Amino acid sequence: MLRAAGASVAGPGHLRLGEDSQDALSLKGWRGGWIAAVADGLGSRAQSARGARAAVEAAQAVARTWKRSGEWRDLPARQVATDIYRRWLRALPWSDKSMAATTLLLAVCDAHGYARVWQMGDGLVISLVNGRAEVLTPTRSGFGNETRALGTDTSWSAWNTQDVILVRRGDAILLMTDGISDDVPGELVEGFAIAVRRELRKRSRRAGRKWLRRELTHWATPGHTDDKTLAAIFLD
Amino acid sequence: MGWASMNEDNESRFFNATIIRNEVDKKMNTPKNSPEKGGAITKLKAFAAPQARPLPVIILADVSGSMAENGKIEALNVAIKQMVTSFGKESRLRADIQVGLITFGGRQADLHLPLISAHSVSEVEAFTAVGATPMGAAFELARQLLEDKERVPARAYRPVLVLVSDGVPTDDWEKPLAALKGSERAQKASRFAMAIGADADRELLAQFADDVEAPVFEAHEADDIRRFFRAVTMSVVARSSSPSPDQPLTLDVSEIPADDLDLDAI
Repeated sequence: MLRAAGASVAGPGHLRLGEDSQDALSLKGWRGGWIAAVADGLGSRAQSARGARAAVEAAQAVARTWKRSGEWRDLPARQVATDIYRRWLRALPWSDKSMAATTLLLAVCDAHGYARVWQMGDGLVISLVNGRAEVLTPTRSGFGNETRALGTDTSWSAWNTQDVILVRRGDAILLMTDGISDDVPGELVEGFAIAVRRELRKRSRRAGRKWLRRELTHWATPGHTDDKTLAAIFLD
Repeated sequence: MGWASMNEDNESRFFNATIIRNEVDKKMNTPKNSPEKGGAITKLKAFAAPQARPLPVIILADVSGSMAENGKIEALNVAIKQMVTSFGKESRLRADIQVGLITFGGRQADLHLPLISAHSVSEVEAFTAVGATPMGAAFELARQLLEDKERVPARAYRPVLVLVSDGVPTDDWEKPLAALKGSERAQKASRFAMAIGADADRELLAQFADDVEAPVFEAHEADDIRRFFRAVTMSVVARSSSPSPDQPLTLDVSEIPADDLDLDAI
């Protein structure tokens, strides 16, 4: 059975200032599968929280227009990215869309375990398939909090897309914002993903969210400031 | 049980229940340890980096022979030492300020501090001014340092480069500077430059600096060097203490009174 869980917490930086989180999470069932979308609004932009929320809603809305079973697997990834981007642009009332610049990570998985991933900007997508962890996000060349984003990048090359097939029990896809991924050293990413999946499998969706919220609230890296959002789809 | 007695009993029970509920709420909503201290026992603790994100600050210091005049090298030595000490004293930071120190004087440029946490620097040596001005070699060392993903990981905040010089380069500087400014990673650093005295190559320094608001800072006397470093220190500390340490660094030397050099006040 395909299951999913996710959580999003405001970072200590925003809590201290009494501000809302600039991350957004949307996790919804979809014809026996799941659509998971995670977005991280750029901290320097005035409407980034709204941009992030609009991004996950646009991603969900586009995926929900796919009607016939199986047909969605053949949709050109570029066309899907374009549709999401256009819907996101339409959802924002300002002429300067960069005010709401945001990253977007999207995973759509059908009831058969066939999954497709789209990513614009930083954060991390990890697959756990057949006991192997694979980082699906390209290595970042710059520094922390520098990213490509909806609202600032319009080129197709800014997107990363992947297809994954979840076959065995325990196979999973994890999406997370850089508030988490930047604080997990590369050599520990696999162990991190396995630990998250193991703990989520033990729990109901609601209990998993509660556990994840506690883990992200009590994040162990000293001086961490960022909002943190993680979503997981796994076969159980 | 009479009506009054039952009411009293209900009130007592609900009042107590309220007290108990409040206490339970308080316990549930108050973490045993502050989340920022990372003190709570969590399953994922083992996977989170045990150190704050690095904020690299690299100084390119001119220690050529001309710096021996008018107390410039002494002022530079004091300024750098005070800067590193101030960084090291900061304990409530959102970032781990790391210091890289490159000097250029004589025949080559030298890497004295290869980006290490300021609080772990026990002593900064006093430099002696001698020889030519191999600034191009310093640019090359800085580029190599910034491109090294082991020393400057992707999780680091945008680095800061500070160039201080009182003379004209004596080596090929154009290619190394172009390489520094063209490097995918190194070009993202905030770059500040200070010209000391009338003989500094202002055109070159202006090419190095990338802040249109503050092109090149001018030092007319030794104290100006310390004021400049004080401004850099205050800005870096402010940035590393802020909720958004990746915001661009801004410098305002005019905010630093000439006679206010008590770094303990930071």
